[in-house]
Amino acid sequence: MLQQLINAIVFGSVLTLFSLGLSLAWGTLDVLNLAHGAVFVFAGFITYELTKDSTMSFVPTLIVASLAAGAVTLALELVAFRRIRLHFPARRQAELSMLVVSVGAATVIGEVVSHQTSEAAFSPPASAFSIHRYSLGGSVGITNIQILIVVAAIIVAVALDQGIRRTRYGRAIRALAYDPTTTQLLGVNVGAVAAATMFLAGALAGLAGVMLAIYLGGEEVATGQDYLLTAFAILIVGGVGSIRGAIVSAYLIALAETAVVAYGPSQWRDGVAFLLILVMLLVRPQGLFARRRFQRA
Amino acid sequence: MAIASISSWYAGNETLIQNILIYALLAFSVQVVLRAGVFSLAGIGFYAIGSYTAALLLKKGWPTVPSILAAVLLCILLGYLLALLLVRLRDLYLAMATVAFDLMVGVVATNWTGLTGGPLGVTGIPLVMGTLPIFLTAVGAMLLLGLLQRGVLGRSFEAIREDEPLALTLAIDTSRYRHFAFVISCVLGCLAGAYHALLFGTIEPTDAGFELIVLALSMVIIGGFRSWAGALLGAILLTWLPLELTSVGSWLNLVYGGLMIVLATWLPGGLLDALRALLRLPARLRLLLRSPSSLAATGEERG
Repeated sequence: MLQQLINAIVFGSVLTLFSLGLSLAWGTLDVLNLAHGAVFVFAGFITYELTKDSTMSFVPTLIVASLAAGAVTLALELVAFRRIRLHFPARRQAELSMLVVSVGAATVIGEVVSHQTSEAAFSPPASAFSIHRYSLGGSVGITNIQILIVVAAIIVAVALDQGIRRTRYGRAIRALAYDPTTTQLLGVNVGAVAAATMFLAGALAGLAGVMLAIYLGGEEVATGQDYLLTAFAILIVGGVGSIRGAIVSAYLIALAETAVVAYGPSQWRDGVAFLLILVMLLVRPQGLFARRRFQRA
Repeated sequence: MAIASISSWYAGNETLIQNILIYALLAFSVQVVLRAGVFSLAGIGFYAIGSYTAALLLKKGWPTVPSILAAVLLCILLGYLLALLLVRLRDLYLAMATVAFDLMVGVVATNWTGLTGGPLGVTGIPLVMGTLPIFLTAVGAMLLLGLLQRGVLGRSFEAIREDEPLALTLAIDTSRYRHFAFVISCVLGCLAGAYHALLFGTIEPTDAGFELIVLALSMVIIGGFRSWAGALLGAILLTWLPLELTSVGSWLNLVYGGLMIVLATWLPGGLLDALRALLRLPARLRLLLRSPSSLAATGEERG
């Protein structure tokens, strides 16, 4: 029971790291980035490439892989999303186009990764991070990577939440979510803020991807899709653009999925997320922690 | 002589033509809703529902036509219910809900072993489908979609897509139109699935997964979502190109992905728009030579 709870909290922390970036991009820039899952796996792949032949230690690997994931998302923003935002005045058309771009990008990234790994699951060598297990009495235990994941998620969640609320950059993001044109008139460099936001979103996905690759001992391209769908459920349950909502619902969904796997019909695990999405959209489409546009991000 | 060569070409390419027709139906099911401004990808879920319903009824000993009709009726019913439930969702929310629906259908198909055969799927479905019925259905779908693009109906769909509050003030009952487009999309997806099952004889629960969503969406986006002709163009290209580009082989998906990024960013109307612009080019050049100022009048019209 306690072990399941620990597992759920670790899973929830991975989901938090993963879905915060997705929420940020949708909440501020109206980008539903379906490439987020591919970027996440891409970071795991970079970790694998960096560590398989060399003795690069964990922290530099983590930083390089996260930055690489951020750079990929930034490239998408600069190549496609920015142009779409500037040239397609109708919001619906812009959203559709950005969604299509992200589907294309997910395909491209996934294809590159699966080509490089011969379409098999890839796992960073054990030397990349030596895993210790601390016993908490009985059969219950926690590993150092699990602790690291939880701590990282807490730090990132608090930093992001406070950063968005209290810093100048955070205020610029919130203004951008509310009204890009007025924000620009007020002297905010909208292009730079959007680019920084997308970079941050990608880097957060990367952080989650690296740690998950080491935690699970392996990843494959399909992993990204599974996480993406769970993250959809998190956004819908938490309310789009609500950082606190995303954090709370990430842990709730992790708990629900872990419970189904441990005590229920485990093959219906994927069903939990989809069912939650459908039910929430029908009952309370604005999410549990609804934000109006000016409160977003 | 000509007839003989045509018929031998046809014999060599029958499977390709069947695939194109089935994918065209699936692409139509995405295009008809996108054009109406309803961002639904539920057609892929109904592809699975249609294929399972028709195949299982047929295996139970039902004749062909009633099996397909029953599948279509079920899809109309389910589609209408889903439309009623999802009517308040817009844009990205609707896209996400319908993708969730598609994947939920997959989960049910995998896990409801008693009915669907579980992860193994359904095999040994009688091969009762020929090319002609599929061709006739595809032509019928084109006619229907062509009609929906014209006249009051077509303009209403366009108004709803471009500006829904404005459409409401013009006394267009937007939710009825949205329901209508949604149900048509479900039926087209259902037919594509049923035909595919009865033509090739097997179903796997993973057939209608994320990859099929991406494929159907890329057909419509690459071809052009504003017209059924664009969806047809996309279906032909994306079914035929993999056979021609065997040298690209495993990088093919990379090419698709790249194409989707480029087209969505620079050419939202798809290849059909590019073709049309190309066809208009001589006329525009002539106009430009005669009087440069008149060019603005023909300007950027969007069909």
